Amino acid sequence: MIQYVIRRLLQAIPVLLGVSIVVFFGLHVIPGDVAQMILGDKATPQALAHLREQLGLNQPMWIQFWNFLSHVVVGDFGTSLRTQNPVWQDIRIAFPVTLQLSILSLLLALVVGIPIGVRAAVKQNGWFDNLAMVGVLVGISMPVFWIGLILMIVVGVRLNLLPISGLLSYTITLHRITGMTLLDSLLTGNLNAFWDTLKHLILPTVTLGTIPTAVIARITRSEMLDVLKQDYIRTAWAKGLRYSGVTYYHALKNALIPVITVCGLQFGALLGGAILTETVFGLPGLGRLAVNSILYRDYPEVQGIVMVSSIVFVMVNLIVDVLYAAVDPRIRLDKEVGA
Amino acid sequence: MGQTKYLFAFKSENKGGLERMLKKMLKKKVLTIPVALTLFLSLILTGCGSAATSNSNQQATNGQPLVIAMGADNTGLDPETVMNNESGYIMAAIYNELVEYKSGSTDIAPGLADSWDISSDGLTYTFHLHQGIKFQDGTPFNADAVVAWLDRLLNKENPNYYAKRPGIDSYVDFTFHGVDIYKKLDDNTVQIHMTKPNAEFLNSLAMVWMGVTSPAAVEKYGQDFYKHPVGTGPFKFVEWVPNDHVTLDANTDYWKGKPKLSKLIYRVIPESSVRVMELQKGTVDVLADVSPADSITLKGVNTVSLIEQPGLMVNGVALPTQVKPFNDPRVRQALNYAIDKDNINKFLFKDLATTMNSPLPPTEWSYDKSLPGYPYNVDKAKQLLNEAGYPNGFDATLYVYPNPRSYNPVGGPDLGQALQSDLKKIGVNITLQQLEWGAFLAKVRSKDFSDMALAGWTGDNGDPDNFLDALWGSDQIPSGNEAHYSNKDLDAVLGQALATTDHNQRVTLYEKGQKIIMDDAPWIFLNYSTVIRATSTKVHGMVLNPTAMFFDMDKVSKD
Repeated sequence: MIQYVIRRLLQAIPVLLGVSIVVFFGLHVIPGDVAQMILGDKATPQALAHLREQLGLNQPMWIQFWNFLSHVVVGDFGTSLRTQNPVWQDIRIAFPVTLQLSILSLLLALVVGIPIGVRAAVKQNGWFDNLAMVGVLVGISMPVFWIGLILMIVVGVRLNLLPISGLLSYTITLHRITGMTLLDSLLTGNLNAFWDTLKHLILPTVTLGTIPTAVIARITRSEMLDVLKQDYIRTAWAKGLRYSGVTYYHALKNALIPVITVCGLQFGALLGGAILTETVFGLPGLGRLAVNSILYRDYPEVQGIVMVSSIVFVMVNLIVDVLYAAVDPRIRLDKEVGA
Repeated sequence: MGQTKYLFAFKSENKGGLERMLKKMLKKKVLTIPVALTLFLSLILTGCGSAATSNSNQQATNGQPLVIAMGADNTGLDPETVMNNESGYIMAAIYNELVEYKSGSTDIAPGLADSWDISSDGLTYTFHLHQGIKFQDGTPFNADAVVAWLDRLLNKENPNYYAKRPGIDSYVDFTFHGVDIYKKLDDNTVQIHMTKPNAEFLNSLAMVWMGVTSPAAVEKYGQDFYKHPVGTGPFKFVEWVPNDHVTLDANTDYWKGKPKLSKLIYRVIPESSVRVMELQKGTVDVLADVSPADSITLKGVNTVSLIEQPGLMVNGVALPTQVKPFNDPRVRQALNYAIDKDNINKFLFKDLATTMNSPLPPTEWSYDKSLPGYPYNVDKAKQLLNEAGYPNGFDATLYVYPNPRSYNPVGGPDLGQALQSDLKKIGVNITLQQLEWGAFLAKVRSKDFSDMALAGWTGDNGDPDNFLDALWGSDQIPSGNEAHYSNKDLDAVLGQALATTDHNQRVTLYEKGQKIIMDDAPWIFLNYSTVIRATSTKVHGMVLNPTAMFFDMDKVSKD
């Protein structure tokens, strides 16, 4: 197992190198002068020339790439041109916000999606199944942006139950430990902040969680349908086990592998989908940071964000593979690699 | 729905199926239960939790907090190192300038300096400082502070020189070009000397970008001062949560009198429709920027009032005056007559723009409202084209940028199409060429650019020179003067106006300049966009400055 993990981590190196090449050259071949984009339409020609000099934009492309790569290897992404902070620092502040939102949405998707899928499979073609599958179709088809605005209008403005933007009310101060507000407020025992940030997070979580919920319900249902036809399930019913015993204990366990795969994929999609959700709900996460940096042509920051996101993707994939083995003892990671 | 049952089962039955399964899977009972409970609670708490924090809205000693929503985060609060509106909105409340704009105008009034003398050659400015002012950190404001401030901006050897970081935007060169000596005459008098007269100097000094910073704070925070701003203004900095909000507290010792509000909170809400909802909900009191579409929504809301004003900006098309057929003024005039500006304002700009009759916007001092402009007249346009030798018109290319800009909130492509269809009526066939903003700027500002291009400008300091020379002076080819327009008479008038310290004489000269530019038509002059700020009806005393900054916030109050 450990050997497998190490091998997988080593395999990530060429992936990250490829990503760095694409990011660097992608940003440098976009038309338009970087210096002009940064200084805007009021910049004097002298100021533009000076900035190009400062940023090394006059040097040949391969030298610029080497400078970038040699710094990235030691974890130095440089300084943001927009915020003036070290890129690493900006990412450290923004990433936990996105991570917290993605984890909450995935949990929501699991807690809601799996029971819907199980129930729909058990009562195949019944009214619940039909209703659920129509709901799933609607859920998958709705644009994140639109769900967000509708939730805001109904729950936030009409019913006036929840705040519609931001992460924490400005009246509340929260000591920062991990950057994940729910966790920090619990760790510092700040219950006021906990409720406040929880209320702020409900609408974004539901918005971002809708699509994965639908996907997971769907995949759970189809896997469960296969498993429920097996002999041992018939035996379980025959033994007189309860509904939950048969479905959740015996059947679901064997239907779970594809669900885990989907979770891994969805988690990646969540980190990406967070860009829209964060923009609609005004959350200071990594997606927002990326959009702002791209608009400003803040290329050190964009490079840093893309590199960090790639690392997260690689890690999530690895975790998914390791989880396979945990759920299904028949899968032996070390052997699989050798084959 | 079905899942509720399982959720309850999940919580109450300790030996429920799912839990047992998860337990086996994770082998960590401790983790499973709190995670599951947190989620369960968050689902049902949608309504119940709302009472929990509503009483935490603690009020400061007196006065109300005011929440201002903006679309993007600021990029720093060190006035001389930023140029974006969001930073300016905040800094206008933290700092004062040596001279200031009269409320709601671009005229100059005393600020940190009570009065000033200008030598007859226009080269020496002597400022008499207001006495007894303190910075928010307690540092006294006096001649030493002003000299320290200037030294940080103008002396590259200063350890805290403002431009040490790459990529900063700054108005320092713009304001202080030509300044060679700055010195303290006595505790309350400072003298600035320049090598070349620059009559827009006072207007430039009044910009929010020329806020006077506390020398002690600059010393203390060094290159990080932009995160720890200290000025003399009505509100002092408390915290900046990136991409979320900036909080300022009332400066109870403010030298012009205690502010009426207890706090200012600048919240970043990127989505414009969400800002509108927050204002309707009452959780936000002021929207810094309102798009034309949103202003239509907000007009119907009775708890919201809108402040509208023609912006300190111009919008038009730069014509390549150096090449045929645009080198003939009659052709350029014909193009101006051919555009139905009022129609464009009404249908494309939804009545949120007014037709240009002068190269200066109406909020600019010396603006000449008697100029006739180019009223829509197709016959006259055809006649002028005929006289110039183009009875059948000609073909041309018009470069447009994609996104909305402050001076053109409808964006480049829509405006380009409207112009295209109007010009077709006089036989001028336009091909539209769209480039991404960065590429667009690079193209239209190159030396050999010789096509038509959408052009626009937002004023910086409220001085007429900042429009007339910046856009049409021959010294600005090809960067600001995209029309490559060169007129010796105009250059002479502008040069004279910049060398004169007599305000009335400057007004006369700029009136002359406006007329020359209008007659010569280096642009198709289109419109002045309306700047809109929305406030809750509970907010009183808010005045919109032409530069759009939140000046005079000490006079604003809230019920």
